Order: sequence, then C-alpha cells, then structure tokens
Amino acid sequence: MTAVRAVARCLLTVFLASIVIFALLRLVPGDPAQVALGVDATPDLVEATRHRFGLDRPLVLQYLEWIGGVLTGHFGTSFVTGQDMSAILRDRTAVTLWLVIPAVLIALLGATAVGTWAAMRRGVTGTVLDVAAQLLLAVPAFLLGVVLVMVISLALGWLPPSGWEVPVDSPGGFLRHLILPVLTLAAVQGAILTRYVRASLEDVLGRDYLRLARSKGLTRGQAVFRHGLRNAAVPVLTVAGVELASLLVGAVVIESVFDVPGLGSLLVTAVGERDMVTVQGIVMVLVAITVIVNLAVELVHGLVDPRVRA
Amino acid sequence: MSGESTVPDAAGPGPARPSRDAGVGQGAAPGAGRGPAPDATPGTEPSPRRRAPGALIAGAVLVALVVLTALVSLVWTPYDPVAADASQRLLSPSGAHWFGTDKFGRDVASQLMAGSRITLVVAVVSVGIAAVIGVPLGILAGMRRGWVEAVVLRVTDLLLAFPALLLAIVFAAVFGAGTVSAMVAIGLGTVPGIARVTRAGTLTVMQQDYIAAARSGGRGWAAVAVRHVLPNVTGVLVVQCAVTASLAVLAEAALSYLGLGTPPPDPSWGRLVQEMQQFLSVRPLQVLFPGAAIALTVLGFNLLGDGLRQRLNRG
Repeated sequence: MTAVRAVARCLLTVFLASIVIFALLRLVPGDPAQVALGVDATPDLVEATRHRFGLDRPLVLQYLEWIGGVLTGHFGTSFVTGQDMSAILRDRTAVTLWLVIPAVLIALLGATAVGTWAAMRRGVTGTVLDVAAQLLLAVPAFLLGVVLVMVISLALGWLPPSGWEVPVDSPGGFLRHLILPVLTLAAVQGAILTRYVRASLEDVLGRDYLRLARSKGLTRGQAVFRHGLRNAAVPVLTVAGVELASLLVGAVVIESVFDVPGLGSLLVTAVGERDMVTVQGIVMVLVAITVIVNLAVELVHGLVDPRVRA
Repeated sequence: MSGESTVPDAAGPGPARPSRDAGVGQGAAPGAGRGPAPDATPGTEPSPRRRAPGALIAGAVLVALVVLTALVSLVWTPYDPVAADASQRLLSPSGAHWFGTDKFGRDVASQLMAGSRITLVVAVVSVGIAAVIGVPLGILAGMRRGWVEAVVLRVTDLLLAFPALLLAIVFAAVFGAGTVSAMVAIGLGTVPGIARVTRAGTLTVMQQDYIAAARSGGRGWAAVAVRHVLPNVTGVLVVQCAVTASLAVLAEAALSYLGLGTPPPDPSWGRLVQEMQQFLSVRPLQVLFPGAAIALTVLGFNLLGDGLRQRLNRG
C-alpha cells in the first residue's frame, strides 16, 4: 500500500512540475515567436510562425500536446533553430547520465568505505577527516573541476582538460575524457555522504544490539559489517536520493567546466538564446529523473527497513 | 532482542516518523543539501562524538570578515573595481596589484572586495525570502494537521523537485539573467528545507503541556503560533538559515560562473572564475583567489551552522 501511495505521490509531483515548467516558460515577456524571431521580424512572419508552431491555439491544448510528446519522447521543434529537439535531447541525456551514474556509484562506495573507517577510529584520524570533509564541502564543484584541470591536465599532462569523445568511436578517448568530470562530481557528493555514513554509523555503534553481537563472539569488524551497516544505511540512503538531485544540477555546471556536450551545456546555451522549447524539454527531463530517483530511494528504504513497509 | 538477525531498532535519528517523511522532516533537512551536520538533529540522542568546539567562533570570524570586507568596499577599494586598463592586462600579483589583474586590466583585489557585496546580498535576501515563505508554511503544517498539512507537504514536494540552481536557471530563461531573479529563485528553491525544519520543530512543541494550557485558556491557534510556537522553533531555524545561506552563496557562484547570474560590469566571484579560466595555464592565481573567496564564505556559514547546532543541542 505504501508503495502504491508513494508512486501516486511521485506522479502527482511530476504532473504539477510539468504544469509549472510549461506555465513559467510561457510567462516569457513577449510572444514566444516574436522572441525567437527577433524584434525586426514582420508581423506577417510572426503570425505565420505562431500558426506553424501551434502558438495560436488555446494554452490547455498546447500543454496537452507538449506533455503528450514528452511522454513519448518527442520534445518538439525549437522556435530558434527550427530543428526537432527529440534526438538531440536523447543524445544529450545519455552523455549526462554517463557522468552522473558513475559519479553516484563512486561517491556511495567511497563514502561508505571512508565513513565506516572514520566511525571506527576516533581521535586524530577523525579530526583530520572532519576538517577535510568540511573543506571539501565548502569548495564549489566548478572550482574543484578547475583545480583538477590545473593539476592533472596542465601541470602533469595526464588527462585532457576538456572535450568529449563518443564511446563507440574511441573507447580509450571516451574514458580519458570521462575521468575528471566524474571525479569532480563524485568528490563533492562523496564528502557530504561520508559525513552522513559516519554520523549514522557512530549512532549505531553505541546501540545495545551491537554490544550484544560483540558479546556473542563477533569481532568488531564482523559486528559492524553484519549489523551496523544495514541499520546505518537507512538515513544515508535517504540523503543519497536527495543528493542525486543536486548531482544532476551539479552536472549542469561541471559540463560547462569540461566542455562536455550533455544536457547542462545545452541548457546554458538554450537559456542564452531564449530557446524555450529546448529549456522546457531539458528541465522536464531533469525534474522527472530527480523525482523518480527519490521514489526509488523510498522504495529501497522499504526493503532495507522492514518497519516502513507495513 | 536477538543478536542473531538484524535488529531493526535503530531507524535513524529522531522520533519515529512516517515513511513519507523519510528523513526530510527532521532538523538536518537533507533537502538543504550540502553542509548540515547529520548527527545533531533535535530529538537525537547526544552523539558520542564531540565536534571541535571552535566551529562557532571560526564560522563567526569568517562571516564577519566577509561582512567587514563588503562594508569597507563601500567606501574604499585599492582601485576602481570596474575600471579597465588595456596596458595592465593579466599582471601577476605584485605590490601595486596584490592579487594581479584580469583580462581587461581590472584590479582583482578590488573586484574581490566589491564582489563580496553581491554574495552577501544574495545570501541575505534569499534566506529572507525562504524564511518568510517557509516558516509560516511549516508552522501551519505542524499546527493544523489534516488537509492543510497535506497541501503544504505536496507544495514542498513540488519545490524539492526543483533544486535552487535549476530554478535559478529557469528564471534566468524567463526573466533574464540578473541578481534579482537569482535571489527570488534561490529563495524559492530553499523554501522546502526551512518549511520542513519548522514543521518538525512545531510538531515537537505542540506536544508540550504549555500548548495545551494556552489552548484551554481560550487562545486561538494563531495567537498560540506567534506566542508559543515561533519562539520555540527559533533555535533550529537559525541553524537552518545558516545552512541555507551557504547554499545560496554556492548557487549564486555557480550561476554567475555559467554567465546566468549577476550581469557585468558588477563584480561577482563566480564570474571572475569563469572569465579567468581560459588563462589558467598562465595566471592560475587569478582563478584561485575568487574561488577561495567563495569557499571561505561557504565554510564560514557552514561552521556557523554547525557551531550553533552544537550549542542548541547542549543547552
């Protein structure tokens, strides 16, 4: 039951968000066709363009047509370039996911390892890690990216500073271009998650059941591994879901740092050109991924923690 | 209790909560993203670990430094921060130009000083907007359960789907890039964190005897909200505001870096990083200085939030 309600709530959020996105981007001062064509377009041309893109029809119809298209993977034709954006958006989404998914995995694994290690050993190590995490949290992701370029690409010459290659054309080049942006994204999110893993595990370490596990003969490591991590995972998973949303938006910025042709760099260009069809499509994709991931986290939460299933 | 199987008695900090809140209802408000210390939510058992006691002081000093810089920049900067001079392009740091000059020959130190104003204004106004909307929503949801609470939670769900930076990019598309649209967007984007913390605090306060006493004394719920609830959630709110301020600084910096924030010629730290990035191999310091300014400000607000939370939990 809980799962059904969670899915329903998630669908409601995506639906409301789609209305907000559609409405906001139609609020653009001035007529969308006029904005796209520029101020010196003749009234006839503007009228023809309005008709061609269906802008002269009722807003509700326009919305239904748009959302119907989005649901079937058709994002519409850009008023600015006159191109159908569907294929471009799908390609760009794939590139962004190439950055985001490895970054999430690295961040989660790294945070679990470092956080567990830190929770089990207090004292100087803990303090050093505290300070390091605090510093890493304060550094904007784009600055970290720039610093990595400075050290690894410019000073050491190990990896290309920017650009992108298609995996099928050149797997090696693809990987070499992937490493720095993924590391940048993973480092920032990893720092946040490490703090949660550590705090959550420290909380668990003081509990009776862990003492009981020790008293029946398990070593400290075994006790933490078998009983600690699962209990510590619940709050961490929740945070990880929320963090993924900021990772997606973080990717928007990081793509600009490394000149990666993903959704983010397209979004920035589209905003600059006031290409509303493209902006709408990208924002809808980002918001939908965010909400769906949060739903997934909630469902996984139920698997890890039997009490919330009920 | 058995030690054999996983004993699910340690769900996480805080009082038992319904699954739909999944951790977003408690003080640390993961919705707020970066920075919040996860272990010290109100209602948590005291953490065995003690954080460095200097956090509050260090944070206060850093934030005070930024405020002081902003104030001084109003009356004095070494050079006019927007005066370009083609003969002085891309100079290394020296006695005349402490932090060097940028690609237009403008003094970087002066731009950093003047840039602190935008950073602070965005932080303060964004937090103000988030608090003005989020606090009443949170108190309302905490005091009036039922459909009012359900509506507030759906609204925060909706806002949570739009991270502050994404909303700011959308606003830049709709209203044009600018400091005002950035502040409004960041403010709206951080409403959920404030609203959820306020609601969680309100729920705790509402269980207290003095609320029942005030209600039975015939006070209306609005009077109870102002007299009893608001003063008692101020502590967690101040912590959340510090965290929100650090988020706002980061969001503004990223937005300006993308060229969608504060428009030229007003100096902005994020834009300075972006403008100087193409000269990274020749003048790396001019990229690092504005970057460090952003990082130190964010660090200041984060430490301030951590330190305040610590005091709150102890007292």
